[in-house]
Amino acid sequence: MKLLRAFSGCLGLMLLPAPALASVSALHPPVELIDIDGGAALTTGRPVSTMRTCGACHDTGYIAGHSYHVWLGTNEEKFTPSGRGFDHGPGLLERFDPLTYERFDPEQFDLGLADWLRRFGTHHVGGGFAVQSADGRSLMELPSNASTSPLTHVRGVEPGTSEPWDWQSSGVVEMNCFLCHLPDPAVDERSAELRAGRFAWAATATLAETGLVTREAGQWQYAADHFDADGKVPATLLPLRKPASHNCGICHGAVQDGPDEPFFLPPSVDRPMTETTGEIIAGTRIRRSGMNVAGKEELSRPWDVHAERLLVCSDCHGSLNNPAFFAESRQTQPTHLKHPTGRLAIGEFLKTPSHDFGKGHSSQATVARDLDGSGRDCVDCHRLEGTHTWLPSVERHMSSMRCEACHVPRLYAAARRQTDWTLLSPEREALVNYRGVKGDPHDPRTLVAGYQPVLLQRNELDGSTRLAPQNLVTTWYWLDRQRGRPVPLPQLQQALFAADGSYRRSIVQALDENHDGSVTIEELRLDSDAKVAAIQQALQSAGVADAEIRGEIQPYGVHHDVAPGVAALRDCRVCHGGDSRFSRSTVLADYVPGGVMPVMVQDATVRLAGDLLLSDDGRLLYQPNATRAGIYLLGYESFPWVDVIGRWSLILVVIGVLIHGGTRVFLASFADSKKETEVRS
Amino acid sequence: MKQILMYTANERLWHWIQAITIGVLLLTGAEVHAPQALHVFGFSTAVLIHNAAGALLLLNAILGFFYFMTSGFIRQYIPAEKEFMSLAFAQAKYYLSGIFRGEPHPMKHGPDNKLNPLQKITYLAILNVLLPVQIVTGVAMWAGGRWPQLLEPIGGLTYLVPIHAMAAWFFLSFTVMHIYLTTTGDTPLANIRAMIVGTIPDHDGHLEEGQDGGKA
Repeated sequence: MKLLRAFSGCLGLMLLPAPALASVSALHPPVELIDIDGGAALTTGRPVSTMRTCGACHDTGYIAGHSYHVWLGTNEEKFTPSGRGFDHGPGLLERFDPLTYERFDPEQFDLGLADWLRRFGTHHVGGGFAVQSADGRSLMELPSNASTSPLTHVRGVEPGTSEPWDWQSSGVVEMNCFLCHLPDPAVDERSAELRAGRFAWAATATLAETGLVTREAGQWQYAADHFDADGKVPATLLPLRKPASHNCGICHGAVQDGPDEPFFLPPSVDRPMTETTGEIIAGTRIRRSGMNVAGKEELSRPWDVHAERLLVCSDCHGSLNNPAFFAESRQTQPTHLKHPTGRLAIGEFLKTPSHDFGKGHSSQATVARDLDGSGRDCVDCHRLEGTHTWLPSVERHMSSMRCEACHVPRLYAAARRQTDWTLLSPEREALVNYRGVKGDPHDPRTLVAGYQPVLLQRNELDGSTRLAPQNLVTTWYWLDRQRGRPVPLPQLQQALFAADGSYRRSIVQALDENHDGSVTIEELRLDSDAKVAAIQQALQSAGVADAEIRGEIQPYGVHHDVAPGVAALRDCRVCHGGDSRFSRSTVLADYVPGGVMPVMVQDATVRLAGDLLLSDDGRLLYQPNATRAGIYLLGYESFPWVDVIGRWSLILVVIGVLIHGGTRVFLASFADSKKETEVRS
Repeated sequence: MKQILMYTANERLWHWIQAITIGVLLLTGAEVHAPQALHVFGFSTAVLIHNAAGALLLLNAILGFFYFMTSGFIRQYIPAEKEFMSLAFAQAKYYLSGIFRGEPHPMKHGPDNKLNPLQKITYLAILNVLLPVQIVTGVAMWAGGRWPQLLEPIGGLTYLVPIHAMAAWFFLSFTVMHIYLTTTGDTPLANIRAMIVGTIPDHDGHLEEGQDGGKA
């Protein structure tokens, strides 16, 4: 009978619709929304303070105090320098990013902190530098009438001017717990508050989808009828739980963890992982997605096998002190211990959950390098024994290449290839092109061919090097040599565009090759000294006296979109053979602005082992060199002189045999005929 | 004509195992070396067969060495004749001119005299240089596949593979020459027949001199 009841219960759960399941799993107790001064937000009508609200049970001070998602590397004193003299940190705030171009410089005013939060704050969870200055003072305590400072001022309307920012009025951006812990956070509403500079309301706006708050006459109002008699919100309305993959996707990349429906997820700066590598986290089979992938009828594999098997991001990138997943980092685990110590009890974890999440060792993950390797790696879950039995020299393959090299054989999406900030499009944005697609990747009708990532030697944490798949994004920009940093975007725009938004006449004259009086997209490239000089002249007029073009290559590691075993790379000849992928060059850029050859950023975990070449049609190519990479690929001729000598030894022997044997046969037949003649005579 | 036993069963087994394994090694090695040009077994299968054939060749070499040592046949591979150089010169002269005029072999071919001086020099180089080089480099490459760190001090496969490949080319060249020279017997197939059945016609009256009897 018990068994029958259990079975019925399970069947009932299975038949429940997804929202009902969500409510069943909403175990979180009712929550009282509290404002920054400790009052009930429902009563005061003021913005919700997550630090106060969640801090009633969780140690939000601890959480916001240590998380690298909060600080974005601004609290790191030691970090690997990128090679750019103008980077002040390893993270999104202070490090140059080819996707976003502008960054916060604490030493000279280019972009105010409030400017940054308004433009890029949607990709920051809040807290940390968005709440307090480096010396620990609240941003709201900073004097607003002080001299121009990146912390207290924002850009003025005119390029090169600034104006004070009223932190008292805007409030600060607290760490937004709702963004990651709500199943359906109102991202757009939050972004709108950030863009408008109403920072204090950003967390409250995130609740919009719950119905707890509504926006009326430009103000957020609390829906009192959704609160219980104690002024608390029940878990059914505020179903806080551990983050799902789509929560991570809000900032990181395209995630489709909902129902198995067709989707179209083009690259976007708002989805940086997808933009830079083409990775899409979805369990859907490629042929059933809405993406126009070439040959998709044959692609029965899922976009990501782990997503198909219902794993979520936190299964590999979980909280570092979660007792359910706890495993000490390989960097810090004492070698003499088999089992890690210090595992928290559940209650302790819920009070003080680490919000440093297990991370890998990606090329582009420059923040919190000390936590590299703390995430789940393939071998932490998968057994090598008993698998790969068809593969010769399994250990050698495993020691020389990462699993992704074969298990991510191809990305079936467009990924950024080139970013050119030396000129701007009519929309005043960088000129961008993509690999894996011919045409506009944002148009659903464009056929996506996908691309094979390039394999580069990655410096592993154990001191070894392994081949790991990467996408190389090459970027060019103008460097203001006098101030030692990229030309600020407003100045660049001022140099290129007239007041009416069109290109300046001097720019048109310099770039208009077909003399039709306008500049087409094809003409927007600095492929001659005269064009470069014209832009330098325009920059001088905009106040940049000495500008030069800089080029760089930023690798992005490919670690997702893992194929199931049957769809992994099994054709050895892809690497072992004359047509090895190591023999094929990769296009880095369609053109080289100003003829400036790019250099690799220095804080990546991979290195180029090959040559940068210019093709006859002006494209920039990367030609890998297996020998320089320190690997010898059987079947791929790295020492052609061996075969030259070998072939000649064989040829000489065969020639000798033919001459010797032929002479024997000829003389034997001659002797036979002579003998026959003698016998006849 | 009476037959005399030229090659014992052990010798023939050793020889043919060696011949087959070397053939398999050359074929699979060629596929591994140039998979785009030769596709017989598939790359991974070719590697597996290559490793298995290499192991068999090594075992055969060890057992053959043991057999030749204990039977004393190894003496036949050692150029000990006082007139070795003059005999070698005579043999070379025969291959370069005498063979075309139908002259007889300068050396008697028999159970106690299986190899002419040029063969002795060649086999000495093959068995003491080329084969060990192939075995050492081959085993090292195989071991490097299982224990990659073993090869780190010598730069991985970077130097082993070219040496192994070069020696394989020489083996292939030797094999072509070896097969051709088997046709220089009494008849073009006489020597191959001897290595298959073990006996040769008793032209030189070995039986009368008290040697082991062969088939009649």
